Amino acid sequence: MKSVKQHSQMSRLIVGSLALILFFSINLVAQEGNPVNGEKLFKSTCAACHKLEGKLLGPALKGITEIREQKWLISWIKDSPGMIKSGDKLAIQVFEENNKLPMIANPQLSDQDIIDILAYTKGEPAPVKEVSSVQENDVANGEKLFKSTCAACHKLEGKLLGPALKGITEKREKDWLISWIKDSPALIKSGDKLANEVFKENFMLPMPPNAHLSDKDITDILAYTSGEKAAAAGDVVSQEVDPAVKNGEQIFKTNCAACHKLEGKLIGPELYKIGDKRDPEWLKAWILDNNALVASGDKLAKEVADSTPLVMTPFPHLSDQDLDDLLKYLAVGDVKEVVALTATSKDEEIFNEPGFGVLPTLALTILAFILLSLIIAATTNKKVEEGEEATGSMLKSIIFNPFVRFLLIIFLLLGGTWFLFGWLMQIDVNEGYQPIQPIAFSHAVHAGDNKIDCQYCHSSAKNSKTSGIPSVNVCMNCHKTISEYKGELFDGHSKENLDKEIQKIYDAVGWDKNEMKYIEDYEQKPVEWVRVHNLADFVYYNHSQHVTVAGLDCKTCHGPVETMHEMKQFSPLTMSWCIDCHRTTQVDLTQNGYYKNIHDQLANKYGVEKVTAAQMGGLECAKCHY
Amino acid sequence: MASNKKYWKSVEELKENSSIVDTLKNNEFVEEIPTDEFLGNKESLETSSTTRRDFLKYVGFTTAAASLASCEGPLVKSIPYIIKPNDITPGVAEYYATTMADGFDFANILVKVREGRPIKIEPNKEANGSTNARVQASVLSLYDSLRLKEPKANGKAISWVDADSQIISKLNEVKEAGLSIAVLTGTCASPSTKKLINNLNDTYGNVNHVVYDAVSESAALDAFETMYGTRVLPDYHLEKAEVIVSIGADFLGDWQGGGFEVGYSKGRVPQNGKMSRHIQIESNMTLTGANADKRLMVKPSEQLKALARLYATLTGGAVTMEVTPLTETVSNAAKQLIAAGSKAVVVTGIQNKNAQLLALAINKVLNSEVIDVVATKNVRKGSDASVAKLISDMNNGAIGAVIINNSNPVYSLPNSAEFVEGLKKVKLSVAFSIQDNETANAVQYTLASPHYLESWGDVVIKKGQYSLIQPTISPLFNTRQFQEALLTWTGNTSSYYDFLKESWDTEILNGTSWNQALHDGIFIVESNEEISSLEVDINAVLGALKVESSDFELALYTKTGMGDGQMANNPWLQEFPDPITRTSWDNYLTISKADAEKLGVTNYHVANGALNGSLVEMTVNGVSGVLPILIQPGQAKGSLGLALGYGRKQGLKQEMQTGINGYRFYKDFNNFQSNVTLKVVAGEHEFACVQLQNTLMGRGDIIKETTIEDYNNVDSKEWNKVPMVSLDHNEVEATTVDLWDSFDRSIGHHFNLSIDLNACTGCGACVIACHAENNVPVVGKEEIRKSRDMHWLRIDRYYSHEEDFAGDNELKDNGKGALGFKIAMDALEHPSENPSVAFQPVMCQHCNHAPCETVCPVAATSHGRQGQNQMAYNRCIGTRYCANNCPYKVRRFNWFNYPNNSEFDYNMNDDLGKMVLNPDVVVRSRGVMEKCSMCIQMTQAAILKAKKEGRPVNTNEFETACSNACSTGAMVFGDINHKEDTVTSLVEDKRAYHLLEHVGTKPNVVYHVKVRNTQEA
Repeated sequence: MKSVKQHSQMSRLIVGSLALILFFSINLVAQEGNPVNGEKLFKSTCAACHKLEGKLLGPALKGITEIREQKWLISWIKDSPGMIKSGDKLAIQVFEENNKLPMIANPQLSDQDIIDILAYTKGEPAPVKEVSSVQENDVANGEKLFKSTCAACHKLEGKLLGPALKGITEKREKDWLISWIKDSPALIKSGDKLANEVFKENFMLPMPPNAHLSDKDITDILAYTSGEKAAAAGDVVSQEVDPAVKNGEQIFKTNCAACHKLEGKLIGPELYKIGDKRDPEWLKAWILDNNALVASGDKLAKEVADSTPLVMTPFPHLSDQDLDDLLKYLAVGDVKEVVALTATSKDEEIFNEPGFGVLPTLALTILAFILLSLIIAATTNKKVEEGEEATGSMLKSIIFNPFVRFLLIIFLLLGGTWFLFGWLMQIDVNEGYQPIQPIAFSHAVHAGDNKIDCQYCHSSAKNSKTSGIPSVNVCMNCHKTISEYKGELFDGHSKENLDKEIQKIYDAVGWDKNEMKYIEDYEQKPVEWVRVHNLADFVYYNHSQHVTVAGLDCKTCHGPVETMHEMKQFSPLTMSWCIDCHRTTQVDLTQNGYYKNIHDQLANKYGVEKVTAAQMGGLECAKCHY
Repeated sequence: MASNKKYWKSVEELKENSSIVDTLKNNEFVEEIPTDEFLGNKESLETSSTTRRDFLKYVGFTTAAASLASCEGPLVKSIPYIIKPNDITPGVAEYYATTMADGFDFANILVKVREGRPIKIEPNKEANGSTNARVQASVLSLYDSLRLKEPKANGKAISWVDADSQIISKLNEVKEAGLSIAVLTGTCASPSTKKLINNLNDTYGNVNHVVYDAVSESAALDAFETMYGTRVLPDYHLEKAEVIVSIGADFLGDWQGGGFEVGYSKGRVPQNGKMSRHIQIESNMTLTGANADKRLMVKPSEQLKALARLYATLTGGAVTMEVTPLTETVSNAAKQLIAAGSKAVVVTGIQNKNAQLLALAINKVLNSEVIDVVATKNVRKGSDASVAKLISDMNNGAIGAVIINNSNPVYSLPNSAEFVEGLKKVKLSVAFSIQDNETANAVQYTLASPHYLESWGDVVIKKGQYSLIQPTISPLFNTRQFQEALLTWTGNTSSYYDFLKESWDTEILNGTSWNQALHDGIFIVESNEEISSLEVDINAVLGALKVESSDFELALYTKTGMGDGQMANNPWLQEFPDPITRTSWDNYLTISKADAEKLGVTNYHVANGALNGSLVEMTVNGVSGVLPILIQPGQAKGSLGLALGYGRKQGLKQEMQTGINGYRFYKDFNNFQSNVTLKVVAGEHEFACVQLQNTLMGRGDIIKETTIEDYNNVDSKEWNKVPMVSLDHNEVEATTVDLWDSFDRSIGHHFNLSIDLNACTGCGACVIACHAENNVPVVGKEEIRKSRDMHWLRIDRYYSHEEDFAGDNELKDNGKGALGFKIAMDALEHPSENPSVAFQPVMCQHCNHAPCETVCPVAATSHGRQGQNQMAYNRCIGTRYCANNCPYKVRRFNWFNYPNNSEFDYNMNDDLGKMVLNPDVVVRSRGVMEKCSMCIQMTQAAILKAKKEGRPVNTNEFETACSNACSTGAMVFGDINHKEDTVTSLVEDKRAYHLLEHVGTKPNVVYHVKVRNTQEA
């Protein structure tokens, strides 16, 4: 027993430090930016107007990080018009240097995305494809490992001892899963919220740690659980795709997609089968330099140019071949990959012996039983000796034993009180409250898939006591151009369904999605959202205090919003929950000028660097109740 | 030894065996729980089919059902803007500079706006703005649910377009008939409006602008015109004054538009051993008289004589008028005036042109620096003569159309019947009105106007100081400004905003930015004009002085809360206790004790401490009315006082229709009426008077005062004595003894509030500011009678013996034993005829060793490390132990749910009125204690602002609602751990003391000993 215990402690230590190293290494990568992803993003987002070397519409971007600060660049890329408006000096200078051509705002890019793009602009070579090799999951290996390690307690579909694991990667974050699988008891002990929740949900059955699994192994297992089939099992049967069309698609995506869609109007007109409408030679000339074409006195060009106040960017860098390919692509449209599947894998479950996680529970139960028997024996034996009771009626003697009855009554009373107390305490605690909203808005799609920053929409969180439900005009910043849902379907919604949900925004504000303009004299109707987080009137809570001053992440209280399609209340929002956090949170007195004097005084008096929010007076009644 | 005086709050306390006072001393809560109501009726108890067991079953069931029902939370909707305005962030307050100018009150203010709703008025200190109680309360009048909501023609709704076309055609008819058009407004100090009225004259011809003030200052205006050539009011820089002699001028009240308390208080705080000397000669006890160093009571007619005599004494002329009781005092005052020379000033409130001329002449003789005849004020413009002419012209058919704006003559004219008759004779009568008042119901076209917080405008309060009015909320109702209408009627299609901006750009701003002016709220034009006085024959003036006297004379006045009665539907102002009488929800006839005894009328307290009074029928020049009497210490014998502004009926909620219309007695706009007869009638009146409530339980020395001589010459330990207590059989200073260990409070913020009793005039702006900031409920007259007022901040008014301190002490010291006590009290009762008065604002003292905290069984009240005594309402179970244990009686118990309760039909009972609530402060529910929180929401907001900006809190950045509203600087709030804060030095001042120091509560509110200038010449 002793050695086992030591081993488990050792393994915890190792796993813990491994997890720590892993965490930091991930962070490190995140900080530095991934040029591979950056390249992809650059081509889809920036290349319409920028080249790495040489001026296009915008300036050359190679080495831009050496000229400008990263922070400034991030804000600039996200919302350059906003910056210019806000009066940022540098922004205005750049704007003027570039002939006052406005740069399109890119609110859809997350900070990380931009860092990636910036990493790419450094012109560094893409790192050796190690990272991606890790990502290529060896599903076969995963299956093997699953069967040998996990199948004792888990099935892919349906609950066994542990929960069903199919699609677990969609529910939880990968990093969390890795730490959990490696050493779940340590994770629970560390106070991780989610871990504790999972633990409770599963009747507090502990899951044995799997220190022997490497990260790669776990990734493989997860790949298997996501329902992917081993690569060998299926074949991609693709159509014969003309390489010219493929090249055309590439050109379209890098140069045109910022303003055009194949189908439907964006900033410019739709381009699918444009060749049927216009002469290819004219088109080529137009694309190369539409200004020159207009200037040359071409009648059609003038007509087209006059039809809209917007001016199309010239693309003189495209070769004739490129243009041909592009036109071909525009004639053909998107080529859909058809995947033919051949079902091969055996959905067979293998039962191994039960995992030893159940053993301690069993041992405890047995121990308790033995203890109880001993007590009974101790109290009944006496009577047996005295001969008052006939032997053989052990059960009867247990029932009639006054001590047992006493114990039972005490137990029932205490238990009853405990349950009553527990029941009363949960009144008006609305953890998990998930009302149906008037619009099937998905945080998972917006914050998760599209990585929109929380405060892009909830912008008053940094300034005000309320986080602010975004007004419809904020929705319209993006939804002017996004009128249909193209992502993965969720919650049983059909695409048609979700498009109708987007339409609700237009109905509220009065936007004609076909004409791409606001309807005049439209009677606007507000969207009546249902409030999820309701604090009592006698509680004063200020978002800006927590977001701006304390620098808390939204997720700390609101949970993994990026995984919630329908928003729900993640935290209990009880006073004990607030207080617990105030008790443990340390206030960094060194970074904020407000604490300057207070910090010196405290440091002098107690010789401390950091104090908790509670020690600063964060537990006083009237700090939150007035 | 000076401060050891006997104070009392009510005449009742001076009686030897007043059972009421005794009861009140022992009972914090006068009303017992009314168990008798449901247990006392034996018969109904016996016939009831509900047994005790059944009752318990019902209780059990309902409790269980209620708790089950409460498990389901309500669905709360959150509705965002569709298009969010750029400058609004939900949850963040915006401040806009604007100006209040309702014809009676004029103030440069800041408006706090939350989510597009104005919720509080603050003085615009950068524009030297100061606010009084009415200005503070005006924000609630915006949300008056009985406001006019749409234009009406003869009582029926009409569209603006129809109204315009009908009115224009009628105006043209009038023009063709050759009749004149009268524009009747309250005081209008707006240059752009004057321009518009001129435009109206250009369009229709024969337009006559008549200015009418309900409470007239016509005499002063006429006098100034005679002496200096322009019909304006002079300004008085009272901070420069060494001697102020006021004859009947309530300049700390509404005299000549008010606003003099700022300068007055500056001169009253002893600096370098000096303070001004203030002599008041008056008949009613006014706020000004209460603050005076020497106060003389004379009948109104004697005031005139006193003024004439003063002039004669000063100029050495022949004394033509004998002032019977005051000859010596008047000569004495004259001596002091001469001694002070140009640092002296004489003001008078007698509504008589000759009297006003005399006062101006005296100031000229003195060569007074205090009076400012150059930078004059425009806050009163009304002309009694032109109003009288208008009424006669209306009746003789010379007037074709009357256009009324911002005025309610049908209510406030003494001869309103004639006015109504005249209205019937004109072709067109139009009234622009915010309220659905008497005038709005007497005209053909009632045009709903926006409140000033919904309007554009400009106003010149003082010469060269141009203020702007800007809207802070979009109009709540279908209203339109007077100025917009004038533009339409004169065929001008531009909006008033454009018109205003253009006229400012071309005439006033002189190239300066309009936006800057709008941001500041004020634009100052410097000028070096000189005014020379005209020759006036004072002897002729003296000769023209006529004194009418009678046995009883009536002095009409305005209350600090109600003013001219425009805001009578404002529950905050109705419940605001008058600083002098401490009575709310009423007006009454004040009478001296001697006269009351002579007439056989009384005031007495009923069992629960509430005040009742006899009724009299008063007849003045043929007009009579039945009024309740209130015996007022300090009321001159033979004089009576009655407040204007009450007794309005139309457009008021039932509860607000209180009092009697005093304007009926306001003949010829004269505030002094002789020829008064009184007749006692049967019946009695119930007052809502708080003067006996929350007595001191026999703990004296709550107020300390001294004389300027002692202050200068004697060690502060003599006049600012620390009470002694016995420790180990030794007498030691109470502040050195402590039951508890103290915490270290030197780190972080430690808030203190300093209140200077010398600077406090008792005006009560802080009371209303506290109401607005902290969502304090209005409880109504009946509840006030039961001592259930909810004011977190009250201003106690104490009377004491006037003459000297030593005499008082002797009396008190000798008053041992039953007989001795009786003699002492009888003696003290005598000067109650003319007591000296002290005001003391009292709110929660935020004791560092708070007695309330230790007795709370649920720890609902606790102490913060920033010095605030905190109240967690959601934790309170309403035992009221804390209130019983509070030595200052500042805790208030919510006997009812005041919001959404039709029993309390005030602002919290309608959707509109609720818009004024401060969203950062919870609305308390029934059964909890509440009290001053030292505006913790404001201190926390200041801290958060600093944290967000990453800087320490600035010097004097912390404020409370009361300190912000205090225009005299009597209340100063701040952080005593921040050495630069003003309060830090004030706490160390030699005048500083805490209330009831011997109790050892160590409060965080500090008071400053009141110093009186008793130096005779």
